[in-house]
Amino acid sequence: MILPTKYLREERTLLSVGANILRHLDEPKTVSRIWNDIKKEKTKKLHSQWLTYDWFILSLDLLYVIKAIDFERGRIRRLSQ
Amino acid sequence: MLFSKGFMHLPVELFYHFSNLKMVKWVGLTMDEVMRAYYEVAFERDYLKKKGNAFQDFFADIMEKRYPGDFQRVRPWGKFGDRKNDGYLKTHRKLFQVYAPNEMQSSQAIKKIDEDFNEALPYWEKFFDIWVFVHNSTQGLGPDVLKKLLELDEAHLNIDVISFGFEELRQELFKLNPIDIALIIGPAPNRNTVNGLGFSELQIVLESIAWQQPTGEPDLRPVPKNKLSANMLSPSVEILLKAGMKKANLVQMFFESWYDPTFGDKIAQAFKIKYNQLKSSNIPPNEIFMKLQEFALGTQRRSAEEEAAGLAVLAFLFERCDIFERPREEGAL
Repeated sequence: MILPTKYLREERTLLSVGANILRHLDEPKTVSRIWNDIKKEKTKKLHSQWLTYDWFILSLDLLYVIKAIDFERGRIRRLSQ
Repeated sequence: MLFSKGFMHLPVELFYHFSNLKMVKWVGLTMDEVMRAYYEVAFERDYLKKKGNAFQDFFADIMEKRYPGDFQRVRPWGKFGDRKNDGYLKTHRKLFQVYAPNEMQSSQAIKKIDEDFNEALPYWEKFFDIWVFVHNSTQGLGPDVLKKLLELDEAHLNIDVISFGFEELRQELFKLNPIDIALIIGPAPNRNTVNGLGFSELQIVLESIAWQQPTGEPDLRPVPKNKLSANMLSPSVEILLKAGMKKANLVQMFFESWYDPTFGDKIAQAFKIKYNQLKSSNIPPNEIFMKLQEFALGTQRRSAEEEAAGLAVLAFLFERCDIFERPREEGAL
């Protein structure tokens, strides 16, 4: 799930989706806003990279666990290294 | 040689078969090599799986279609049962006795032969010259059983006693036209069905096995050459896999667009686990293939499109080495 496998392409892995989420966190945003931003982007790409909400949330979980993001006052923000 | 390389040609026709008020439509039954290969594998599967009365019915179905108006199926009647007659072929004056136990034991088989022959003799004697012992063993008969048949043959000069097994029944089946074979064994994909495969058929097949949970580490090595021959799969199975491989990329595309990104891995692992289970039970590679088909599609008959979808999935997994073995020279990787 996190890393690519024989049947899971790199673009769909939680790591890749997580990296994409971080790109969108130039400022703290609500979960809904990040989701909408990412969906707008996804519709431009191939059908094969369709992202479900469940998978998006799992990516957020991963970013939280590795301390790449934090949740403060209702917004997700990127943590500096 | 499992099958000849000739084609059976029929004009393309629509054939309607009514069964239990349900209409089944067959279209374009020209037997090409994909269809033939499918039937070879399906026949072997049915022959191995069916026991007891199911096997007897299977035998009688084939013989009735092969010799219409001539082969008589006999069923038990009243207190004397079938009087040791499981089938009679009038023009050949052949009396058939079917024996299809779960496991063939010499002593039991010999007892059965003795009993059946000697009971049939007084009742049917003037009607038959050949007594046929029909059995369900693919390994042939044991030496004791064979000896018993030879002894009976010698002891009764005016009666021939012969055995009838896998190869004999197979030959009778493939003398039938494709429509009759399809009625006995079920629908088969042909080259056109495989080429006409769509996503929706594949989805149905894949969804039926999606519930399996994956375990273990995935195999990321590239596919080696000569994998088909290294696994000692019969020419028929090879043809089926090669036909399925033409649409293996369809399976890949399906996994890549499916809403669950882990679906491909789940499917692959489920098949891998099943394959390893089958492998550890020491059955021949062909039978493993048949059982994997069953695993993918279930034991109920499916439409030709679904059967073709099953082949595409198996070929896809075979190509990516989730099922069957790599050739030994690459094993060191």
